[in-house]
Amino acid sequence: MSKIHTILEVKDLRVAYAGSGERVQAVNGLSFGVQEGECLGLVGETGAGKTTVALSVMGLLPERTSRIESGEIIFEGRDLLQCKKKEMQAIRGEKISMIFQDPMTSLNPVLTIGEQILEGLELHNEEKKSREELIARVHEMLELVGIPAARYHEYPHQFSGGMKQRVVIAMALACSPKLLIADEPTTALDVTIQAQVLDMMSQLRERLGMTMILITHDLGIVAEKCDTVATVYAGEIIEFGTVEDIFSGEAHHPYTKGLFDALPSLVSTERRLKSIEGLMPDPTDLPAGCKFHPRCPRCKPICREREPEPVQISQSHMIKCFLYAQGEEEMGSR
Amino acid sequence: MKRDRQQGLKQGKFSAVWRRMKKNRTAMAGLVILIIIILMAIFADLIGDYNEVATKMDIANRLMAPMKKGLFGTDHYGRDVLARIAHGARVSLIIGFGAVLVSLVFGGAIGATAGFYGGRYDNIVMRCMDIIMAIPSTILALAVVAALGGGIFNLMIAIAVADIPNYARVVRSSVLTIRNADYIEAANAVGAGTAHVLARHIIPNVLGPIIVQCTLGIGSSILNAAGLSYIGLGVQAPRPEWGNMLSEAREFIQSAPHLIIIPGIFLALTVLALNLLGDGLRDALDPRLKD
Repeated sequence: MSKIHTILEVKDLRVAYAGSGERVQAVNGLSFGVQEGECLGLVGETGAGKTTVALSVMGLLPERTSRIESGEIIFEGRDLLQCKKKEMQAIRGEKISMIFQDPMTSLNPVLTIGEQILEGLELHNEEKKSREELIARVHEMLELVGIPAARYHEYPHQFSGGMKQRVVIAMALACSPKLLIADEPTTALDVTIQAQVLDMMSQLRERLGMTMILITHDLGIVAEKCDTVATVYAGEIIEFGTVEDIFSGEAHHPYTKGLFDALPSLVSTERRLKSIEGLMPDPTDLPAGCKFHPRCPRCKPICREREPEPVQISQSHMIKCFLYAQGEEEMGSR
Repeated sequence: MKRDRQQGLKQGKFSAVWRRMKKNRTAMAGLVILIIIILMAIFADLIGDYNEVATKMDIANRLMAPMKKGLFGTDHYGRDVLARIAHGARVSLIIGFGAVLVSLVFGGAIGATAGFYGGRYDNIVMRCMDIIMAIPSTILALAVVAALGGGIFNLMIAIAVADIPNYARVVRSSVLTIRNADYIEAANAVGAGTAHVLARHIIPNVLGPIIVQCTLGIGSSILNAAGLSYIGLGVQAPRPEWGNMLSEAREFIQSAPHLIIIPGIFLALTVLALNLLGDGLRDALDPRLKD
């Protein structure tokens, strides 16, 4: 731990979608940082704003319907939100890559997989390499993700789901990006293939020294693959810490606790799984105070009125909840 | 291994499409018929010189039955029908391909931009297309010919104008479905710009429906041209064209039916060949239907 270098820092990001007359607050003042070489897991329910964060970093939010209202996204000392279109195009794929959820639809059916991996290399060919060199690189990438290079000329429909996701990963990694954003990379795959793909991804990450943001709602994946974890709820990070903090720490945000309670346990013999009561708040009409309070089993009067401030439980562990804020005050008064 | 790769490289898209086409018998039949007609048009002067045979009157040998004089006989002025068919093929094919090319370029550009950018631009442009579509195509072509005057080129424009909305609609709807596909977003994520996305991802994906529309369109353009010539607004006599040959033969339908039958057969064959070829091409171009 000699040099800790923050590769990506998101500060107070606010994103809203403007639909037909309605304003959807997808991301509300979200901040986090990723250290070089580590793997950050973003966990949360569907609709919590995880993908919106990823798309904001990529600069791929739908132009017509979305607006970044405030915030900074600092990557290698540069604010990506201030970058021009051309500059973003140069960064995308070259420095920051993204793997999308569904490999079935994220490959173009009329191009061979080789051509699709080649595409990114061609677009970021600053060194003016010859086509043969680039194709050699594609072959190398294919072998790297465990696909025989001879399948270069095959079309996506000739691959199975897991193999397609490997192609997608090869596409994303072709230019050796510094940062890889994986948006639920294994949701569309079946369980045995999930393990394969994830193992391959973490091997490649270590080998290439890549930083990764893994978006998922699978806590098992987070426990295995991530170094730090951020729990996202209604467009905010409500708990942030190392994997140890989240999985074996004492203090938790009630929401994170709820997520863990919803997992089946090997030890206890409960018949039914617990669920968190209620639904995600309507993003067009977010509750005042703590956004989790209508569902919180430990809700207090103050939660309905004021928004909780982030509380540092330990150096690496942050929780945004009044439970811990008050604990601190009490301790201070004693 | 190395040789494998190089061979794989050389074996480009077109050879793969051709390999799949060859398996489709009906498409190949269409292609053969079309090639014969195209060759006939190219070598029309060898079949019969334009001035000496195709348009030269020879009253002594008028209305001769097929095989009695020349392969297809002669018409009411004693002109050789085979030569006239061959010279007529030139005009018909030029009009057919030309009109489709013009309407594809304009309709395609309108449809692709409307589909890609959407919004108000899409609305305005497509409503204009709807207006053109609301006018019967023959009437519209009549109006254009009346305004511009006759002649092959004007006839081509007249037919093309009426067809533009069809191409615009086909291209727009294909672009609309593809624009929101995940692989377009994935292409953006590797740093592709708008032009690259259009050229590399959207156009190859809309090619299938466009090719079908085009081959069908060539057939209907030829028919439209023949129709306009038939009512006397298209190609003017003495220049032979399949439509005006039919029109001139009307009076002799009883005494010399071959004058109607032969151009009719050629017209029908050409359109049929184009339709068969179009179907085959669409199947061959889609890699998902491979093998």
